[in-house]
Amino acid sequence: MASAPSGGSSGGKPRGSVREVKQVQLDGSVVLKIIKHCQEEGSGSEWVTGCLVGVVVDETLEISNCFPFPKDSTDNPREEIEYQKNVLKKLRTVNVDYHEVGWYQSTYLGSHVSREFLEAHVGYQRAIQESVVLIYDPLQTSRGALSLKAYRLTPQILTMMGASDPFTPESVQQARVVHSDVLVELPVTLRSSRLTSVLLQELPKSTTLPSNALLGLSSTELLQKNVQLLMENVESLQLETYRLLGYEKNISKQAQQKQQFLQRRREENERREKTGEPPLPMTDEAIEQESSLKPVVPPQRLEALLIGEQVDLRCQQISEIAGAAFAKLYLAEGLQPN
Amino acid sequence: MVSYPLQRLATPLMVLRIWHAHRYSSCSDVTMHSLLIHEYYARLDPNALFLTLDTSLKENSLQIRAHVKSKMGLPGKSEGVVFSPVPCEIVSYEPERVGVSFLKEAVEKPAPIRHDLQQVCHMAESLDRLLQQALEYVQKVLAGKVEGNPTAGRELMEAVSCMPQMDETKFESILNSTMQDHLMVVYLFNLVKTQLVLGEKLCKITS
Repeated sequence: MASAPSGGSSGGKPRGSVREVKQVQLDGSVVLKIIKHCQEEGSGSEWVTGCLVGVVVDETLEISNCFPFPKDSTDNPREEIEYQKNVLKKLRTVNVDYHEVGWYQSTYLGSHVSREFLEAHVGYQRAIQESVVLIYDPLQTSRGALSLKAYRLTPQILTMMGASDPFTPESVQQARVVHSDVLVELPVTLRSSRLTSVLLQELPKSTTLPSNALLGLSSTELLQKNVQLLMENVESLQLETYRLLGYEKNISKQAQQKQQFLQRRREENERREKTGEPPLPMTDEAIEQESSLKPVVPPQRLEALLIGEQVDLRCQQISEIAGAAFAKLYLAEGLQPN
Repeated sequence: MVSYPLQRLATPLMVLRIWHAHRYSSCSDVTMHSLLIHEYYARLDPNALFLTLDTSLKENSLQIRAHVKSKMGLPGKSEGVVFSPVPCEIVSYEPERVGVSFLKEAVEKPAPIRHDLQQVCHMAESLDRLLQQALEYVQKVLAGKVEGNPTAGRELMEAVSCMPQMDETKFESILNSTMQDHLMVVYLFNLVKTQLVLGEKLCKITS
């Protein structure tokens, strides 16, 4: 998993005043490198990650290079940071862009929104304000539709992550944060330099023929997988909701028990007054000690927010797929001789 | 002479890939300097390749060539080393081809990544163009203006016979059932999403 960027990213940050980044521009080599890395290393549901290097120009984040993270050093985050620092240093000596601006990750049918993803990206976005995370979906790409999306965290989520006791139901309600407030998608454009264009012209026809896989009519497998993943997400969401409901029930039950206890105490105290004994304390600590009523721990609502965002993303994906499928079906109908 | 330090970096990535022992130079001449650098790589892997491409585009092309080192000269007297070219072929796999085809459209100016539906429209348009071309060619041949090419004719026959011949009703039923599947899935997903949004709005109201 990607760790937070190495402190200071070996030099100054790539901007003067803070500007709002509205779109992301990728160099051709970045796209091909990411594809290659995922092809060679990613096997099925294992995720591959890497770092993005680039520069901020006006409102566009131009990503000019990227390099992959080695996979096995997840147990030692120090090593990862060292590796990152070294690579950036070497890039600087070779006189190319060396400011890190984000990271990329491969995903399996869009199920990347998880706690580790959030935490990894929070580190990046705190250190470099304009950083983005690029999500690449290898399955969709082998189907014929290049699936590269750029996301950032909203400022509300960032402030909430920084709070000391984040994501209790009360704080979430107060901040009025909804699941769609977690991630923001940025439009991505591709750019190829002059030399890349020359190379593209020179490539043999077999490598540059646009793949017709996208026109394939069979998307039932894809639908199946998506529905399965949605079911899992809904189950986890249900779990979270039960937890929340249980918490609220516990709170009300505890309040009742406390009331009962206090009532008994009052009666006891009145009785003691009559007999002249010292009254028993009615403070909170006494209540805790004597009635073994522990304060109820509020559940974390972060998971619920993330799952909500995940479901949202999946819905978007499915509507895209379905739209394309309808278009293809009508095409096929048009080609039939009748 | 750009990649020397970057190649060193490949060592931490050894878990990542097979050691690709080659280096590339941005001018197409082989010089003494390149021999020294090649010696370094030859130590790591005796089959080291030397890849050159011409970025100054002297002959209007990139001139991608690969060389291997081989000994030459008379044994015992004047021995030397020559870099002999090796046939070089570029291959790619499916996802890469998709990426490359997207990049091709970004040649003039930065192009946005198209989503599924737009991509299908785009491909439909290009398919239309190809069909038009094929049709024109066939008509010209029939009218006798252009001489028919038997291979082209055979390919066209194959393409046309690829269309699955099906009963009209059967095709309709398959079409309808697929569309219904998709519609159902879209409906389900939208239902879940609406419920989620509703739930959160309710929470906001009750707070």
